[in-house]
Amino acid sequence: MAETKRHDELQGEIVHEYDGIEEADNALPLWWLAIFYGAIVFGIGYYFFYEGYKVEPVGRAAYDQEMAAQAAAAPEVTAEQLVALGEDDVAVAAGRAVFAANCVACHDQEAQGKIGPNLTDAYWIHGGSAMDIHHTIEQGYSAKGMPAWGASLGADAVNQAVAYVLSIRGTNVEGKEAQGELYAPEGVTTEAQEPSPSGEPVVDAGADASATGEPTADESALAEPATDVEDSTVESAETPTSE
Amino acid sequence: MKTITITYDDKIVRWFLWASVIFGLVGTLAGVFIALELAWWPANAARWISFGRLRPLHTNAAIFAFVGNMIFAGVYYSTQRLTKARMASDLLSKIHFWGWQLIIVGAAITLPLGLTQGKEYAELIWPIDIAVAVIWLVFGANFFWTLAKRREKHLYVALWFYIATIVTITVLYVVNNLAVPVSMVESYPIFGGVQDALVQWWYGHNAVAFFLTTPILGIMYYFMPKAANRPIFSYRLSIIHFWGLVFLYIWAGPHHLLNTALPAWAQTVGMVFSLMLWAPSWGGMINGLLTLRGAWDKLRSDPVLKFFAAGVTFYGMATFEGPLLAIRSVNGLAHYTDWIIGHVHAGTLGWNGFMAAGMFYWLVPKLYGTKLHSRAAANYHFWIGTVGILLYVVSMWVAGITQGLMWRAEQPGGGLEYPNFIETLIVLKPLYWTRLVGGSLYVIGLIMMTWNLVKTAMNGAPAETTVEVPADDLPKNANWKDLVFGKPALVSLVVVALMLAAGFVDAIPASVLIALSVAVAIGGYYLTAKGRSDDKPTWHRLLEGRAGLFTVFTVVAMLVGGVAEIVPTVIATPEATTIQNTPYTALELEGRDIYVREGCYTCHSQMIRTFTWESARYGAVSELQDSAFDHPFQWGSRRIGPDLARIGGKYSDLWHYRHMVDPRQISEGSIMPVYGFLKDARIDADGTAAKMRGMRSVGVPYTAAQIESSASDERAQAAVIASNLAGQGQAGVAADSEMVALIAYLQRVGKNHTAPGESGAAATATASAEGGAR
Repeated sequence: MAETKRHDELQGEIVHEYDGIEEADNALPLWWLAIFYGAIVFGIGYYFFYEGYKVEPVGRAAYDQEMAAQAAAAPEVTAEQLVALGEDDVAVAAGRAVFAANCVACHDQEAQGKIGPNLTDAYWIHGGSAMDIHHTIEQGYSAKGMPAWGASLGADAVNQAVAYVLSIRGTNVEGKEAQGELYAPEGVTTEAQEPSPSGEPVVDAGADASATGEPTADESALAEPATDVEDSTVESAETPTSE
Repeated sequence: MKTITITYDDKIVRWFLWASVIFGLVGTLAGVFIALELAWWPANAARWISFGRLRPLHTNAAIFAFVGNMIFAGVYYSTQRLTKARMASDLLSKIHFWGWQLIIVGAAITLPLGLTQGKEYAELIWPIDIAVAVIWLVFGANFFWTLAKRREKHLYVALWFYIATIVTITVLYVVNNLAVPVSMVESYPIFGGVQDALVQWWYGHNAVAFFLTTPILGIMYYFMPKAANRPIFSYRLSIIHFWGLVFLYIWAGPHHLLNTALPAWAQTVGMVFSLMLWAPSWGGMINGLLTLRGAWDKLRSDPVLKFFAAGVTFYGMATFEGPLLAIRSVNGLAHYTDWIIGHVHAGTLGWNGFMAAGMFYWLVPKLYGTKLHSRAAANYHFWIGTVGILLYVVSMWVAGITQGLMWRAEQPGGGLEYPNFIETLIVLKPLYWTRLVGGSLYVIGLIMMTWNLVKTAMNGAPAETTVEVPADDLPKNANWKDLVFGKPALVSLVVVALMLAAGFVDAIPASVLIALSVAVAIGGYYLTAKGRSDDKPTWHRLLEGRAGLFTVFTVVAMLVGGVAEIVPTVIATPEATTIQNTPYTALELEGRDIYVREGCYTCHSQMIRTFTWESARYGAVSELQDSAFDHPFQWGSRRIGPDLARIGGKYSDLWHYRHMVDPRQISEGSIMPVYGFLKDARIDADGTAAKMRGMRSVGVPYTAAQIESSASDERAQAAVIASNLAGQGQAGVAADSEMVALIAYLQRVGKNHTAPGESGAAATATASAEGGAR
C-alpha cells in the first residue's frame, strides 16, 4: 500500500491505494446520517411504546381485544327471523349464491349430496329445524367433516344460506341416499331412538356423535365415523361440480 | 526495493466463472419452469418435477450454484490481487471447486427425488450438508492461509466482507442444519416448533445477508472501481456500513415471523433492527454509486458499468423494501403473498444477477487476454434483463398487494369479502403469466451473455498474470492489547452490554439503560474523534493490519444478535407449551414425512396469524403448542394455497382423498398438482420405529411402548381410515398407501392439544362413547 495522498478533483484526497484501486475518505452524507440516526431513535421509541410500556396492545393482545369487540357486537338470531328469511325471495336468492360458492363441492349443485348429505330430503343428521341448520352451518360438525362457516362467511351470509336450505328442504331432489333422522318441519323433533332409513340407531339431532361408536376416543377426532351409509352416487360424484 | 515474481492462479477463477454461468442458466430455467407450473398447473406433469420439489431446486441452484460459484470466482480473483499473493494452496482450490460442483450435482439429484429436510434454502439432506460444511471450510482455510501469506499489510474493504461471509455462513449453516439422522437420507432437526422457526429464519435471512449480500459487496468494492477507474467514495463510510451490517443484520431474522405465535418481544426486536439496517445497507449503495462520480458518461457505452450501476441500484431498492416489509403492519399485508417473491427477485435478479453479469463481462476478456466479443450484445442483454426484472417485480407487487387485500377484506357485518381462498388465487393468473414473460426475458439475456462470453474466450487464450511484488517483510503488527482495549472496542462493548441488559429488566430501568447506552455511544464517538490525529494511524487502520484479530471482532459482532434472540427462546422452552401435547401417531408421523417430502410447505403455511381475518378464514389463531413437536417446523413462507394450521378435522377423509386425486374436482380453479400417485405408493410400517426413535432423541416424548407397538398401531389406524373411505364411498384404497398416511396427518394438524374452552377431541370422544353405548 502506498500512501500516495493524491488529490482527486471529485473525490478529494486519496487516503489508500490497493492493487490500483484508490480510496477517498469523504464525509458521510448528512441525509444518510439522518436515516441512520432516525431509524435508531424510531426503533428505540417503537420498542418502548409497544414492548416496554405497552402503551397500545399489539399482536396477540390487540387481536384478542378486537375479537372481544366483534363478539360483543354479534347479533342474536331467532328461529322466527330465519323462517321469515326462508320465505323471502331476495334472501333465498342470496343464499343460493352463497351455496354455489361454498357448499357445492360437498353437497353438489342441487344440494342432492355428494361427500356431504342430501339436503333436500326429510332426513337430517344434525337436526332439520331452522335453528339446527343455522347451528350446523355456523359452528360446523368437524368430526363429521362439516366445516364451521360462521367466521368466514359472516352472520348475514350464514343466515342467507340457512334461508336457501330452508327453501329447498323437503324438495326431495334425487341424489344421495337419506342420512340421519326424519324431521317433520314445524313439528316436534322425533325421538332419538327412532331408526334411520339405514336401519341404524341415531342419536339426538344436535349431538356431535357417532352412531356406531366404532372409532375410539382418539380416532374420532381424525377419522370420520363410519355411520354414513354406502354412497350410492359415486359415479355422479366423480363428475365436475361446477360448469 | 527487492521484489519477487508471483503468478496469480487464474485458472481456478475461470473454472468457477464458467460453473456460475452454466448454473445461472440451469437455476433460472428451473425458475421459469416453476413459474409456468403456477400459471398452468398441468406443467406439474410428474412427481419429480412438481412445484413442491422443484422450487427448492430452483432456490438452491440460484443461491448456492449460480451466486455461489460467482462469489468464488470473484473472491479468488480479487483476494490474490489485494493480498499480492497467489492462493495459498492450489490443491485446496481444486478440492473446493470439484467438491462444490459435486454438491450441486447431489442437490440436483436428491431434490427432485423428494429427499429434503423441509427447511427453506436448507433442504439438502444431511450427508450433503456435511459435504457443504467441509468444502466451505476448505474454502475458508485456503482464504485465511492466503491472508496469512499476504504481502499487503492492510486489508482492503473487499476482504473485510469476504471474512464476514466465511465466518458467518459457517456458523449459520452448521447451527441450522443440526439434525439427528434416521437413515442415510432422512433426518430430523434438533430444534422444533418456534425454536426451529427462529433458527431457520436467523439462517434464512442471513443467508441473504451473508451469502447474497456481503460477498457481493466485497466484489463490488473490487470490480466497480476497477471497471470505472475511479476512487472509492469514502473509506469511513466503508467502515461504518461494514460494522453496521455485520452487527445489525443478524438480529433481523424474526421479521420473517411477524404476527405469528413467536413471542412479541422477539418480533419487535426483529422489526426495529430491520429498520436500523436501512442506512448501513444504503451505505454500500452510495459508496458504490458515488464511486462512479466522474465516470457516469462511460455508462452510455460500457455494458460493465451499466450492469454495476443498475445492480447497485437494485440493491438499494431491495434494501429499502426490506425494512419497509419488516414493519409489522406492512408485513401483515405482504407476508405469505407474492410481494415477498417480487422482493427477493429484485435482489437476486437485479443485484446478484447484474453484479455477476458486470463482473463476467469485465473478467472474461481479462482472463483470456482479449476484448469482449460483442459490446452490442452485452448492451442488449442489459436492456432485456432490465425489462425482464421490471415485469417480474411489478407483476409480483400487484399480485401480492391484490391477494393481501383480498385476504383481509371483511364485510361490515362480519365475515370475509372473499371467503373462498380460490377467489384470491384466480385473480393472480394474468400476473403469473406476466411474471413468466419477465423471467423468460431475463433468461434470454443470460443466454446472450453465455454466447458472448464463450465467443470472447474463444477469441483469446487463457492468460496468466505475473506481477512483481515487494519481497520485504510486512511492517510490524500493532499490539493486540491496544486494539482489544482500544477506545472503539471498549465503547462498543459497553454500548452493547447496556443494550442487552435492558432486555432483562422492567420498562423504566430498561429506558435508563438504553439512554445510558446511547449516551456512551455519543460520548465514545467524540472521545475517539478527539484522540485522532493525522500523524498516527487510527484504531481501525491498525486493526486492518491484523487479519486474525479482525476476524475475531467480526465473529463477536455477528454472534451477539443471534445469541440474544435464539438462546432465550431455546432455554425458555416452556414445559407448559409441550405438556398438554400428544405426539403424532406412527401413521401421522409417516404422513408428515410425505408432507415434507412433497414440499407442501412451499405453497401452504401452517401459521394462523393474529388477525381477525386470519382466524375467520382458517380457524383459531396458531399457538406455540400447535407446532411444539414439529421437527422441522412447517410454518411456511408463502400461501399459494390456503393455510393448513387447522385443517385437521375440517373436512372428511373422503374430501381429502378426492382433493388429492383431483384438486379441481373439489376446488374449481385450483392450481395444486395432482397427488393421486400417493394411493399407489406403499409405506413400510416396520420402518416407523426408527423415525420415532429419531424424534425421541430430539425431544418428542414417545414412550418405549409406543415405539414397540408402532407398526401394529400404524396398521390399525390406517385400516380405520381405509374403511372410513370405503364407508364413504371410496372402496379399494390400500391401508398401507401413502395416501392414507397423509390423510391421517392432515386430519391431525392443529389438534396437537386441546385449548381450554374448546370442544376438541375430548368432547367428541364422550359423545362417541355415548353413541356406542346406546
